[in-house]
Amino acid sequence: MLKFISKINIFIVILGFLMAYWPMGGYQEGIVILLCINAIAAMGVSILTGFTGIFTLGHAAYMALGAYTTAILTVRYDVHWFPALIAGGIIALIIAWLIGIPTLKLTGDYYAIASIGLGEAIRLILENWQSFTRGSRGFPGIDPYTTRIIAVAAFIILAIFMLNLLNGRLGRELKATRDDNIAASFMGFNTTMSKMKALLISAFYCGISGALLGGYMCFIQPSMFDMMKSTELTAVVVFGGLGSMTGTILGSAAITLIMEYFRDISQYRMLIYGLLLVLIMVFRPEGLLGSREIWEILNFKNLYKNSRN
Amino acid sequence: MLNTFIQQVINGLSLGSVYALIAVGYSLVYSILLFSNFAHGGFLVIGGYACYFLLTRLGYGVAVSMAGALIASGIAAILTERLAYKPIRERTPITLYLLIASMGVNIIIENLFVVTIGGRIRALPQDTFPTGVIELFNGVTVSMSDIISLLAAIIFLSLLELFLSRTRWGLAIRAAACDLKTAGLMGVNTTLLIALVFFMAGLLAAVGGIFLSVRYSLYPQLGAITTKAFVAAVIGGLGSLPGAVLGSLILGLAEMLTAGFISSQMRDLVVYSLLVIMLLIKPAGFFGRRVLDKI
Amino acid sequence: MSENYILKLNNINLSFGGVQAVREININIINKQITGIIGPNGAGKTTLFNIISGIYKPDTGSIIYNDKDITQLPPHKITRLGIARTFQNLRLLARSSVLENIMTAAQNKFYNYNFIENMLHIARWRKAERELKDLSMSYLERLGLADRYSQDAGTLPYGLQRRLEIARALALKPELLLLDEPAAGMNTEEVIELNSLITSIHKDFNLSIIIIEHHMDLIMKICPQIHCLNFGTEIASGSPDEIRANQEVLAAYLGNKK
Repeated sequence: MLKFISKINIFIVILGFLMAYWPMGGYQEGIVILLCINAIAAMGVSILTGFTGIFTLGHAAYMALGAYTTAILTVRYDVHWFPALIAGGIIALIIAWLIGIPTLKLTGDYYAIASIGLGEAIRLILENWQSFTRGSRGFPGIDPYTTRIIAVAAFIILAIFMLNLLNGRLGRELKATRDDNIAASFMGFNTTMSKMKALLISAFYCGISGALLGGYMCFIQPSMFDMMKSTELTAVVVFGGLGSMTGTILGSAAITLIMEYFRDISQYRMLIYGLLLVLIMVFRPEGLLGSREIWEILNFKNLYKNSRN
Repeated sequence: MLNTFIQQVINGLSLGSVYALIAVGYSLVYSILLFSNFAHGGFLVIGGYACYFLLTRLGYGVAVSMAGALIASGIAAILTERLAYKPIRERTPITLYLLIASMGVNIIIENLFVVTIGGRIRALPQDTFPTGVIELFNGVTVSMSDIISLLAAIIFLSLLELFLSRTRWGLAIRAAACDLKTAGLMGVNTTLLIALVFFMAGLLAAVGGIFLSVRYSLYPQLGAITTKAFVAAVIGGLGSLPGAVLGSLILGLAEMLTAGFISSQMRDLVVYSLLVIMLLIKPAGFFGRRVLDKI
Repeated sequence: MSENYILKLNNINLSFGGVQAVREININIINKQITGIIGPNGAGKTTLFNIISGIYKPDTGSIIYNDKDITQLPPHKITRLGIARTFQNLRLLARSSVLENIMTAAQNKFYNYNFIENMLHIARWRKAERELKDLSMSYLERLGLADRYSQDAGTLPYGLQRRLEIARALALKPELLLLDEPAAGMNTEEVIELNSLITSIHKDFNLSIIIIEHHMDLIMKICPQIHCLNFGTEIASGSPDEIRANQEVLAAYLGNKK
């Protein structure tokens, strides 16, 4: 398996170079940037929902936290975009930690509803804290720091980190927690801590994604990060296949491209999106790749033997 | 000060009673199938629009229009269950898929209205319900529509309670809320039962939808307000009908008191803070998972 | 008796809503021995395991493991101290492969790369993962599951799933192994096989073992010390011969059956 992971990493890097340097027009560049931003957020939700079994409907709030932190730091305090971007991820992570302590004890739909409530609460705070965030009018004038190269680089680095993390002790720990909470605790895992780890990583990824979105749009607004956006994040993860990170990336790309394709008939766009959600759940609830990673599907046999030599 | 308080309590109870209609339907479905049906907001919108069109375009009276709206919503709920949820339920026990499908249905319903009749805001005709305002004392007033919505909520919830406690099908639903599979093995026709539950949920949502469109106005995204009804149901205890009513009243009161004494922009924030506080103190809500004991 | 006890249960009581599930249990488990716990259905045997392993907290009493009070510890801490268990109704990670099940269990005692190394997959991660895999394979080989390593655990035949549970418990490197009805659902032949398996892992891994079992044959053959429970209390203890001759034990079993 090790060799395959390395191959996948090399493949991702090559793909990244192509995405970053292949000559293309402004419109295509925009799509590439959006693909990267959406995929980063989707990976964040995937580690929580797909690999740890915690179903969230409020992760757009972490994107909002990242976006606002970075925007405020760069515009108001003239911080360089890079440290501001990292700060955006870290603020999202810290808030997630505070939220996670009480809520990770909840199970099933209780957590889902709680995450809606918390997500909306964060959005409403951003909307009402006018002096700091300019409220619902939005926050304009953000430097366009999210260029194609930067978006692609962020995606490539975060994708490799994520795939590496899941292939190893952390991945096994999270899957054990997801599949059988009690069995996991009898394998020596503090399952609340395991869930917390997943939540923190996921909030960090969403924070970075939000910060990149701010740098791409040059303008952010609390309503960009509403429940609809949260739903979309989770739907993308389910569409890709719960428990498959490569599936998440493919699913995110597919949904982004489909939505982009229907941009011209925008009033039908949401209708098609809703229809898509229902049809996927009815006809292929296991998603694109099921719970397998793409290399497991491409090379099913001899995983262990390959890794031994 | 005291007047404002009493005024806002009245408003809060009225709002809470509308939430209760929505939350009870949602809780009813949850208690049987154990998933959060986000399409509930869509049923509410269908009810609102059906009533609007029966009144304005087809010129029916209020009673006929309301009845038509309730039935339209109920049928939409049954169709949703048949077309979207049943195939999923038969394939997998994982309720997450149902939840996402229900969000899809909600988006479809909302945008069907946007695409066909446009997203603009509509109002039910002025003479739908008596519009007078009754002064109780010292400037404390209560509008007729508030009284009517409160009464309607009481009537419909009492009917539901009677149905659940006095009829064979009510008994079957209560049994299914404990354990759907066992109820099926005991000879309950679960297909019919689930259809019935969805019909009732859709019906209650439509009542809520009509009164919401009287209170605010009618637009395709009106269904988003169900999020608050869900919060109310969680505060009361998911799957518990008395819990849903209690949670709704608390939420209505909290919202109106905030609007009266702090600022109306903080209403929603207070709602969600209440949810968080409740989850911290009593994660299972007031009535935990003791389903359908009493309403 | 000397103080050579690995586990001491002192006056354990636990009731669920008025029903006394476990009553005044005082049992000492001798180090490096196989101890049997028998009793009719509903005697409180599994409840006792759940108390030892930390799922339930007793109303009164204390559990002393290797001179350490573990009464109030959560399951994962108890596991890390060296108590591993299997479950009567199997709790494998059904969707993970057989090998992954073992690796997941083994990794906590095999901690030699950190988060950053995991994220970057540098050489130490490579080496550690390979060693962990080899180690896990050795457990599978020991329990005759090596040729099934890549199969999903949920698709194994029932008997092999039971073996996998034992392998997974061993991978936690326990000092004390709790086996909850390991022979449930097995035929005579399989029970004989299991019998020799338990005695051999007891010897090879230098373990203390507690077994809950219905199969009297199994218990009588391999346990020098047996405790018999009925209605949540201990009604007898001693060697297999003593238990066999005990009137109360006979009455408990016969009374329960007839």
